[in-house]
Amino acid sequence: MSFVIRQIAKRADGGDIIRTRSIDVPEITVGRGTDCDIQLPDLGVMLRHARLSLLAGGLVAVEATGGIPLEIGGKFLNRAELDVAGNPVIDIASHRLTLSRGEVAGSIAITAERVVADAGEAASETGVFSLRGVMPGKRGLAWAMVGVVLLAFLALPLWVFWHDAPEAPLTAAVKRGWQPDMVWTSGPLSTAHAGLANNCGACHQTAFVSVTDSACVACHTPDAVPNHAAADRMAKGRLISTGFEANVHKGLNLPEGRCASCHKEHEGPQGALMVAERFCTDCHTGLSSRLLDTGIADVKNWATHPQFKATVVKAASVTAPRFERVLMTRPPVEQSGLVYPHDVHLSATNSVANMVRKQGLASKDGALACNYCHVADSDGVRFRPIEMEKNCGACHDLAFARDGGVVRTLPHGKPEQVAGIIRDFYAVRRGGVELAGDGRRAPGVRAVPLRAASGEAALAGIFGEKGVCSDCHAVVDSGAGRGALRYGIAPVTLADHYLPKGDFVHKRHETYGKLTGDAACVACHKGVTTSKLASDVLLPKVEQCRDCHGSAKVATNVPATCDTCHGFHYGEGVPGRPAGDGRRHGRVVAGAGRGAAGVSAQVGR
Amino acid sequence: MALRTRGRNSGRTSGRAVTRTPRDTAHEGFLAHAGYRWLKVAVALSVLAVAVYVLTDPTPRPNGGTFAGYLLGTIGAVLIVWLSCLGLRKRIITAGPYSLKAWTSAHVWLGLSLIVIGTLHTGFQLGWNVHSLAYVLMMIVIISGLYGIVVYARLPAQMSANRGEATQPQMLEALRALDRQLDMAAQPLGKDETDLVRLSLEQCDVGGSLWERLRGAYPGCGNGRARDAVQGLVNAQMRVGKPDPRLTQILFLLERKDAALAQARRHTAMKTRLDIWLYVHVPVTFALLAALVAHVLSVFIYW
Amino acid sequence: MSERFRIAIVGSGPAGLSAAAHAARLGLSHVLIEKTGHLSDTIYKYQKGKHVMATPSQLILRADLEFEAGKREAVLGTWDSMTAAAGVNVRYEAEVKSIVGTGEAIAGSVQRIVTRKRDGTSDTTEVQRMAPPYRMTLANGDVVVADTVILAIGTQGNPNLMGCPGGDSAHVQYQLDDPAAYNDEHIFVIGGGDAGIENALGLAVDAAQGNVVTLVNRSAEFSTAKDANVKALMAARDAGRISIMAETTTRAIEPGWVVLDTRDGEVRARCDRMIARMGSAPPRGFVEACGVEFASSDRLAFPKLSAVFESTAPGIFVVGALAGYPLIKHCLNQGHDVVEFINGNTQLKPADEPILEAKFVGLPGRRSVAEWLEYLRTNVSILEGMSALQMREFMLDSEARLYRAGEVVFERNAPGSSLFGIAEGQVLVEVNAADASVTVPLGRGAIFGEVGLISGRRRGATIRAASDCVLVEISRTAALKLMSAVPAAQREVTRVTTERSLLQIFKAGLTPADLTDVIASAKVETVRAGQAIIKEGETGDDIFIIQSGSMIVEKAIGGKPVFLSYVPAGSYVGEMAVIDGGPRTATVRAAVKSDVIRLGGAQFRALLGAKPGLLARLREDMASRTQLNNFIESKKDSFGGVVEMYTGVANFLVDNGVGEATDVLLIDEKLCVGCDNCEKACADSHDGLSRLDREAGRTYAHLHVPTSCRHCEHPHCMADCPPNAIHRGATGEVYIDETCIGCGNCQRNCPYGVIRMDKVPPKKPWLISWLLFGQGPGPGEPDAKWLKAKAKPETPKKAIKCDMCTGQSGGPACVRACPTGAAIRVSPEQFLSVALMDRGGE
Repeated sequence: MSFVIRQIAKRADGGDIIRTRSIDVPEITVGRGTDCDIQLPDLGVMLRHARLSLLAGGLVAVEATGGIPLEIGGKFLNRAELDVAGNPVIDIASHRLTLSRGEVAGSIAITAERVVADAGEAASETGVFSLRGVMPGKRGLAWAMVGVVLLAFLALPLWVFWHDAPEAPLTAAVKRGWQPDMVWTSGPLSTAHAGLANNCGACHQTAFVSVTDSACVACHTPDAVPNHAAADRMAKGRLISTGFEANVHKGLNLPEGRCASCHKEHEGPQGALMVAERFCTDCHTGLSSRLLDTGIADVKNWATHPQFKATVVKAASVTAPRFERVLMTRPPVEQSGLVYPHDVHLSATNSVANMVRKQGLASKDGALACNYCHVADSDGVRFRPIEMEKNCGACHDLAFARDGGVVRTLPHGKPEQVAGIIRDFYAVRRGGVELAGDGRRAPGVRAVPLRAASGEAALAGIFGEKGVCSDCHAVVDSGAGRGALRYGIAPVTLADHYLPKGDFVHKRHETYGKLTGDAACVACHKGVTTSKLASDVLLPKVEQCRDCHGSAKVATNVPATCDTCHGFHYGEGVPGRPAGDGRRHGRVVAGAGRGAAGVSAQVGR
Repeated sequence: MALRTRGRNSGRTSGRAVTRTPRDTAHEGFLAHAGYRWLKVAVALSVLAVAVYVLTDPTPRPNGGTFAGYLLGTIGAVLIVWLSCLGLRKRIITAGPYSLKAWTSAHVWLGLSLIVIGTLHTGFQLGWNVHSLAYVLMMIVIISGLYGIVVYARLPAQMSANRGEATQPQMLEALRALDRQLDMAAQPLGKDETDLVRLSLEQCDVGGSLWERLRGAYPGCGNGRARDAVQGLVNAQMRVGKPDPRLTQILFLLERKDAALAQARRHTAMKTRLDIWLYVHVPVTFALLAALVAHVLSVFIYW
Repeated sequence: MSERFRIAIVGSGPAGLSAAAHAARLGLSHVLIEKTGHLSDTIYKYQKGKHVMATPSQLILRADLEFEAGKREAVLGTWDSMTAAAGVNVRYEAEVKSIVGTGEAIAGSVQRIVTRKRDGTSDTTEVQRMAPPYRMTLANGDVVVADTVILAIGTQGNPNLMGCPGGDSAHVQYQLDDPAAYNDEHIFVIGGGDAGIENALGLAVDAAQGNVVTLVNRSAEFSTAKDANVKALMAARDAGRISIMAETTTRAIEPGWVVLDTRDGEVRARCDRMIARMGSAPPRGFVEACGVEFASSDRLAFPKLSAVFESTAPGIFVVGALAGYPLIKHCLNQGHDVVEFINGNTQLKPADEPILEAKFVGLPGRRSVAEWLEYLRTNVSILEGMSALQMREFMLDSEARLYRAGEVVFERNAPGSSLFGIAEGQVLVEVNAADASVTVPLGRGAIFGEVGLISGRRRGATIRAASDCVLVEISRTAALKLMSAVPAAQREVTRVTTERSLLQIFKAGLTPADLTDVIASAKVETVRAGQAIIKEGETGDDIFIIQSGSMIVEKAIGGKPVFLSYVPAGSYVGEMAVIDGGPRTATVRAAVKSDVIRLGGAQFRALLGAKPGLLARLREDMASRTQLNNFIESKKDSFGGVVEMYTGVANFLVDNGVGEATDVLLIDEKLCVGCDNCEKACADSHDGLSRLDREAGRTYAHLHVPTSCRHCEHPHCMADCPPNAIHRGATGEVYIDETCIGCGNCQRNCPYGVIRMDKVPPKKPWLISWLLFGQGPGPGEPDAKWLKAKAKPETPKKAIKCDMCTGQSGGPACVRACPTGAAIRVSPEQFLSVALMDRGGE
């Protein structure tokens, strides 16, 4: 009847220290207290934790004396009777008691050992002082981030790029949402192309090959965007880069002369349309040396832009008027065939002024306003053509008699009809006729003679050098006998566009410095108010433009890039105008042999 | 790496006066290395970058796609790759005459110059794309690096002052010793008292969570709680008479442990602050390298 | 009862064992007397599994015992079996107490034994030698009689025994093999030396063992123990694991109890086991008592032996470590040889013959080894005192070389601690650094290089061969042995050193003739660290030349001592008083244990009178020193804090052994971020083991002296290296070559604890694979876990220390690899200067 107690302690270097002793008593105490038979130096254990007493038949009674139930075989009990044969296990705090039969018959062996490591010893140097324990490892983080970046920003876009081919046709936005390869965009597309934002493949068709024209022309057809010049001339004229730059372009696979060479995309709303001046000047600086037969002067930059050449009428003609570009270094002279003194019409004091007042025509402090005749056209770039009926008729009317209630008026631009009408008129009324007596007369117009001997005489009056026509026209007297038409009117050709190679948007210039309205007009078209001859060409010179454009003199320095006035894609058909623009730059306004249209027009009145 | 192999008798000195390879014996920090050589280089580089940016006026607007853009981009990319090589350099111990201090110095200053170069490379255009991603990552790396410079400049002195001559293992050993003594001192006590001591032994994490380390405050620390409680007990006993000497002994131990803990934790807090930024700096650097690859490739694929 | 043998061999170490084995093979009647219960106690006491090395490799083993490098167990196993097989007659547990001749007195052969006592006095006893046969009385009273005795008892000697009553009781032991073997015992460790402290700590380190350990120390503090050990001991005491009884002696030992005399009276305490580590008495006393005379009274001296290992006592032969041969191979061979000699074989050439032959190859004149040794002995003055055997042994550590005329022997500032002797021809000393044409000739018999030997500093002058000459280069170890063996040599070297250092310091056209009476007045004194040779304000006009070690100069300013300057060996102090008579202006004390030459002021003044040039020169030096003093005093007035800081730092560095350093690693903790890259770099550039511990070590004012080698002027580690594997390299670094046998002596001898014994770890996986995938332990020293998994257990431990990264063009890796510039390596002259003041200012 004895207990054999084996207390096992762990040595620091791992080995076990087993202390065995046997006590010959019927019951033993377990606890932290020094007086216990099995002393467990463990603060989790009560001073007197449990009592074990021998019963008959190899049974042991276990009783918790510390007020804490014992964990026996996983159950928490305050007392239990254990059969030693089953090697029962009692867990007390971090210690474990194992009961078994001792060697000596009837003796009970109790093995006590610590089964839970000591908490205090756990703290390791790295655990405490390094971040190893409390942070995910740098390596892990790095890999994770690299993975995400490569997947989202390289693999996915590539996959998209390879697996769904660029949509065709490339027109506008194909209906599709956000695309992975959109992360490759280097900036917002221009407004025109905004629709393509989610369709990179539309332009970027093959990897490592810069965007080709084929992508552009798919939408921008050649007739919409005509060539700058014929391909062969372009080839001759273009400046081919050499040396380093050429190699770079070649190496980076950036052929020159593509749309994209000038039109940079992903540069914001306006980006694609903003073209660097040098794209023009590169070629135009020394164009004449490459394109020997060119008529275009070399231009280095705006400062050295050559003097304008005005396209003026050299020979007015109904069928084939002759135009000529004349350098404006000296004031050019024009032969429009018209007689029109600007000074008379712009005076604020003379009879013209009276007429204006009487009839309440558009005027500027007493004088006729410029835009009475020069009416801006729809896009405000240039002016509607001058028409006799609209712009002159108010004063220069062609009424010649009152016939009862009707005022008889001669048609304009149809001399032979005039002749006919007059003859008939006199033939009908022998003897004198009473003419409309309201005294309404165009200035300087003599009344048709009251009692003309005959119609012939009346005609001579109308067409004669004192006649109505000669106010504005040069009259040709063939001297041919009656019947046949004796008088003719010299043809008139009015230039419609003096500087056809560029565009000057008048609308944007309605104010000039502080000046507005007519003053503004006159500011550039100097000398209008004093001009006596219609042959004067009163265009401003290039210097006039430089006053504001690209000049330091003006506070608000207005930029002057080439495309302020010129367009690249105007094509060569009619220089300076987009192809398909109906207008021509010259028109015959008057002259014999106009068709019946005129008549019907009369009738229409 | 056995870099030296000598024969048996080569121990006899040759008799030659071998002049020792000159070394830098100046206690000069990495920032000031060689009279701020790399600061000067970095400034020069930045000035150059600004000059290039200002002197070229591209249409429609400056960005990575212009001549200046490509130039700055190339410089930047090369710099980034080189800078990230520091991690390798500091670990490959070659025989050659190099100074990691010089490398660090260059790393720091050139790294800072990237702010200028990189930003100019973007032409101040940012967007939701891989290119801006690379830029942002770069800036994160640089900013974390800046933090690093600051702590490297300020903390070491404090740290050595705090640790005195105690090494880290010594600090921990001191704590273990105190724990053992506490454990022993508490053996004869009853449950309530021992539970308090167990608080200190089992509920006291020296290092603590990241948050605790950063704040340097350990509200839930078992030792502190135990100390207060035991203090309370002792005070109570003092009011009625003489306190239990065993308790006062434990209180004394708990207070000593408190002091030891405080030192160890100050040390931890400072080490944390010295290390933490690397957990941003290094991984993001790798992310940056990846983004850089994507950035460059994407540019050339969608050329 | 007594038995009689032809040969009695005392001690069963390698030497004795091999002797016995050979005797047995030759069938001579013999007995091998072993104190303990097993053979070869010294090796038996190696820790389990220790790898035993076999050096020098080129030495042929001719003994009957086989021996090759291997595990302790293997070595002992073979020896045991072989001794058994050879039928050696071993007598265990037999300790020889005395050996006395039984023949008639040998006329005129008297052994004079001088024994020193603690108080410094000494008494001399004279012993009349008696002829063989010798009677050996054993501890148990038995008597053994033998015609010849072979003493192979090694140098370990016997532990000092407990004198007190009961000192012989069973539970008193004198060594501790396995501390883990004892549990729940009350153990007293006697003795406060390193051994005692280490044992006590070993017994108490593991609380689970439940030992109650008490350390008993005679004196109040532990002066003989290493600093680290004392620290650990105090820590253990504070942790309550060890109790210390200082100023205590044991009075009596009873079964289970011990009675102690403490300061406050007698104490009786429970004691289950007593471990006495009170040092051991060298065997010298016993050996001398046997009639064997030693070469000198020096601690390092060995017995005088004939070429056949016979001592001054006829018939008593000395072999093995006791004879000055610590290496196992030597011992084995000697054991064999000595028996051969005793057996009458006179032709036998010693085993090291081929090694010596190799040394003389290429020298002019066809001489046999014996002739060469004789030639050197007779031609080089300081070698005269040596015996043929000593010459052999001496030659093993030395080199004889032929230098052609004009060839440089060594250059100024080359490191080197070896001594040269001129056997033939003449050399020229270029005394003037600026002008090589100024030379002093040295002729046959003279020695040079002594400055390097004594001061441990770099060579002071370039030496060139004037004619073809044969020089013998004597390694430092050999030189020290020589000086201890031959007092005459000692005196000669000292004289030459004094004279030459004088000439070197005060050049000014002095000739030896001028110096005769100054030198006559010269006394070499050894100064303890911290001891002052000159005290401020005292009168006295002696001049001191610092021969070895270094001094610091202090001046009391505002009551506080202020550090003025650091004076390295080879310079002089005290000249001011001589020149302007007044009292000493500053205090000079030794930074480390130093040797100084004291020159009489009077004689020196006379010399100055004769040599105005010298006076002028001295005034210059003095001017510069006064300037420094004034500078510092001015600083002191302006801002005292700086100077105090400066003094503090300087003293701190000196306290940390910078005084004897040639090159020390310093860490500026204002810059150190604790990345340990220095350690990693060190490990990675030295087969995976770091030679420095950044964190450990002392700190002052943010200046940290980590645990790393200072490359001392007189390396303590070199003192006792059996294979002589520690050398000073070409750039002044002290390194251990691959012949290290891992005995650990250097580790024990290093006062700074910078040497570690460790196994070279296996190769690590490629760095990149760690960087990317975390394979392997990463840069720096591999962690224990990885080592456990990878390292081969049988790899031998070797001594590991800083070699200043010799062979790495970039210099020390620790400095190169410091990312913040916190780590620098400097020599004290560089650092202990006013430059420190700037630091102080911070």
